[in-house]
Amino acid sequence: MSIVFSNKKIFILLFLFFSFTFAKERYITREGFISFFSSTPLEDIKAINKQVSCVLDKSTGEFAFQLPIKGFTFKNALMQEHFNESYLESDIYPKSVFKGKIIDWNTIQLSENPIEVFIEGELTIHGIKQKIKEPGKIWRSSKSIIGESNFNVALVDYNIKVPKVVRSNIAEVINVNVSVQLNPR
Amino acid sequence: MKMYFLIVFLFSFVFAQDDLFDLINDEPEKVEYVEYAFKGTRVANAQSLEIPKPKVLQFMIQHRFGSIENGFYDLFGTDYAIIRYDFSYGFNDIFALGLGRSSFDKIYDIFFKTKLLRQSKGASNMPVSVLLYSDLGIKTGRKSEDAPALKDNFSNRLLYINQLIIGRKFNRKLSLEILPTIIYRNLVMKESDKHQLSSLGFAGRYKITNRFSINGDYFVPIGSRDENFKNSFAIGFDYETGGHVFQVMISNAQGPYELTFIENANGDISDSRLYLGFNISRAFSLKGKDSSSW
Repeated sequence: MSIVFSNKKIFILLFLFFSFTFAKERYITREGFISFFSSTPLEDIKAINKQVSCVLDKSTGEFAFQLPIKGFTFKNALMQEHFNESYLESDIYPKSVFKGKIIDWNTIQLSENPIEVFIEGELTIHGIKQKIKEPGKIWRSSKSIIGESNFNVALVDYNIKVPKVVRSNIAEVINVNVSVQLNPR
Repeated sequence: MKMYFLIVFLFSFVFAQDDLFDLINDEPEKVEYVEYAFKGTRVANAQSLEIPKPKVLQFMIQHRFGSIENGFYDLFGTDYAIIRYDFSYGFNDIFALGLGRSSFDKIYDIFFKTKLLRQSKGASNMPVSVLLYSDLGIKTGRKSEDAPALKDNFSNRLLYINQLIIGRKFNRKLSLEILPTIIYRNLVMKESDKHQLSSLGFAGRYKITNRFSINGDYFVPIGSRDENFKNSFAIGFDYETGGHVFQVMISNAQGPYELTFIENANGDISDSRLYLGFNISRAFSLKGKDSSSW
């Protein structure tokens, strides 16, 4: 009986130890920044979102993003309404998420100089999941890890329909800019 | 012993399932205001639950044609028109101020529309929005046989409209509202006419697609009216393009101002005295380039 008891203790200890080490390896933010830009000869449209959550598991290079679609603010309130109501349908699809990893993470040595990396994973916008592989930069600054990425999203890939009357005002491919400063959890 | 392995196995399984998302999903719930109950600031004739967005100047034209009763002779009334237009400005999420003019009775009006309660969910649950619409109208017509006292005293030209708009966006398609309304006229035409007129309005919209909805409103008087009084109704649709909301409607009231449609509807389906009309609104964003959010 006493042997069983000590086994139990060890298990609990091991379990605690593991969860402790895991917890230490995670870097997180809830104030990340994502902006997008649509440019046509007729009109430039820009929106920003400062409610981006991101978590990076430093031991594996896996990371995840999550952001509320309603968090995007536009200079033009009417555009913001159309973005939510007609294009992204934020009442049906309130969040956009990304889950993926940094390629060749175990060969990357973080320093204060930005390192070019590739990220790979699944991006979900407007309820549609797409596999993407895009370039990014990552570096360290005192306690934080900073990541940036700039990539293009084709509206057609996420079933975002633009009516004919405004097709010359809205680009078919939108430029997305991501910037996060992650702190140890 | 077997049991412990099982438990540990189970735990490690749960642990392996511990998704990275779990770490960012535990955000505290926020208050989320339910927005976009209507596309425009009016349903058809009636006020909607919307006001111009913050820092947006809205120009709205309410155009009403003549009666359709003569058919093609005057192309369903389109030879004639009465019009009201207004500018209104959204100071913030809850308050808008505006100026308007109606061709009927040459009424200038100044109004504000403010949100007293905002429908919300999340951390704070509020089932309805309640707005106050308050309007001061000034009749600027010349003295006439109909209104010989109009010029005697400036206050004879004034009328006041106070209206609550109580409504709810039930889902992404359906929004409904009721509108208790009091209109006070300083000058009335006949001695038997009442200065203060109360009524209750009902209005709603149903979205067919993201850019198209069917709208309607209906007003019932509270208290007696004279025998020619007709309850006002309007039914129409919204169509949204880039910067415009286009609303087309048919109504038994020709005037698009509260006094004229709630209290002076004269049409009837039975003798096809109905009026076609449209509202068109254009939003101008006055947010500066160096605004703090940029």
